Amino acid sequence: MYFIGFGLAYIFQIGPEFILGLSTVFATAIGFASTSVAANIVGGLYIILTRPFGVGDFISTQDKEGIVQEIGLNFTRIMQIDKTTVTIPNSNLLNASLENYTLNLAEEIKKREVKSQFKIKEYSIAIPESVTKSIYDTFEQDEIVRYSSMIQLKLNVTDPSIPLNFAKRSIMEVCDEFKDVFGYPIRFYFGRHVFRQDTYFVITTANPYTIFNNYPLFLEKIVRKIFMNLQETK
Amino acid sequence: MMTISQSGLNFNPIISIAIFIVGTGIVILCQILLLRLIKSYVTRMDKPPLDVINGINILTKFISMIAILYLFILAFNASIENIIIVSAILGSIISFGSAQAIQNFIAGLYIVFTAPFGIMDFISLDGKEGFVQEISLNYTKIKTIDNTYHFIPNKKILSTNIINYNNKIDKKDKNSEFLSFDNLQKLFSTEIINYSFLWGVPLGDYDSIVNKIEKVCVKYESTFGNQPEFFLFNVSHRLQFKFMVKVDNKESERLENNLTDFRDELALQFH
Repeated sequence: MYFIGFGLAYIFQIGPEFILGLSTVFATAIGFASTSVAANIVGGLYIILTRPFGVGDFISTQDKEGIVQEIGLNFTRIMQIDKTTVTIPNSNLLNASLENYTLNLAEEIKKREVKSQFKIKEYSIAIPESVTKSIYDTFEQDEIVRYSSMIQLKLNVTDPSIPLNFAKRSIMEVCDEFKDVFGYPIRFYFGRHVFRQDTYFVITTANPYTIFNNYPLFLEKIVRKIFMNLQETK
Repeated sequence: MMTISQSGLNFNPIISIAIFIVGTGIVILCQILLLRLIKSYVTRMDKPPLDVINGINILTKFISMIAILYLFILAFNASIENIIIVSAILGSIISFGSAQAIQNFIAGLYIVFTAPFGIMDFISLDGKEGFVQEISLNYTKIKTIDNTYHFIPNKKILSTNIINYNNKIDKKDKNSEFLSFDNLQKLFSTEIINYSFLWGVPLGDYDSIVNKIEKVCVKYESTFGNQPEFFLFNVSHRLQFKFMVKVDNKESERLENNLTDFRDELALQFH
């Protein structure tokens, strides 16, 4: 390439000014064009340095939820619950809002201690009350996953419609049942009711793969319990 | 050439303008005549290629544009500095204008090097799902399940989330347990397509719903070479199931040919 350039310059008696001008024009064009590539690489470095999440964390961004497999210079790969891999350009991660379900346990306990020391009212439910420093010490585990999800219950599917109290009792039973599976108690609360009752879950567990393996079973149990009247064989 | 431009010094402005207008007219006339000549020659062929006629059209316009520009310089005897100014402006306009094209070109190179997906991978991109046919310098061409070709600009791929359904199963990482790849290794060669999709089922008796779905999955075991799996993903006004269809990468046509049938069968069970 260079030799051809110099050869042409020699043959046509082109001065260095001309080559300089030409290369400036090309460099500008290429420079402008490669901004998106540069954005990805800078994004990659930025994520590695600021560490909003690490490999193995359970994150959610742009409607995609999964466990981080790899943070590359250009792309970040996450594995979804259906075992498919999503490749997210790092520049997207810089612009999008992001949820990291994985929490550093030691840090959260420290926060709580500081809050109680200064008598700041606890407003965060970051870690369940059952987690204390002693548990942290015995299990020697430094990270927990606190996954939040939402389902909608169509309670008026039967006539008369299913009472909310019954739904609440059913969910409580299932949550108790799955307490041992996830290792921590499951929190739930009802949201607004527009045609369907929004129901939120907060599942705490040590390993994100536990959620991947058991969350469908958990939902299945809830559906079976609440929509019991729909079952053909009682 | 030098003599003309030197003699141009003697023209007064009115004559310069006159020369420029007459010259422009001649150039445009030449362009039209040339185009007619070429077209009459091309159309004599059995099948006139449309691309060639279009290309010639653009080329003649471009040449006449340069000729008019040259005429302008001659008629008004532009100095070297003026030429440089004009060419600098033109140069930056061209480079800004071509930024989009170059962006696509660079993105194409980038995709080939970083390889988020390869040729014949089954991917989901920008809401379109299909097999990658070609990664060219400007576009990535994918063929969807209904055999339509989609051309996606490479630039867009750099800022889109990509789902690659192709999984290499010889990877020995900590997730292999979760993916149960050890078992798959016996069934598949080295690469599988693990395609997943969401399917809503009306609320009803859970056991009979699962039975109906299982029936379809068992039926399609021989078609896909592996029984499709499913699990309850979400609950809204319907029960939303995720289906996972695994196919050996070497037999991707199994997925291509039967996926719509599989979905139809599922729909028929409930509606």
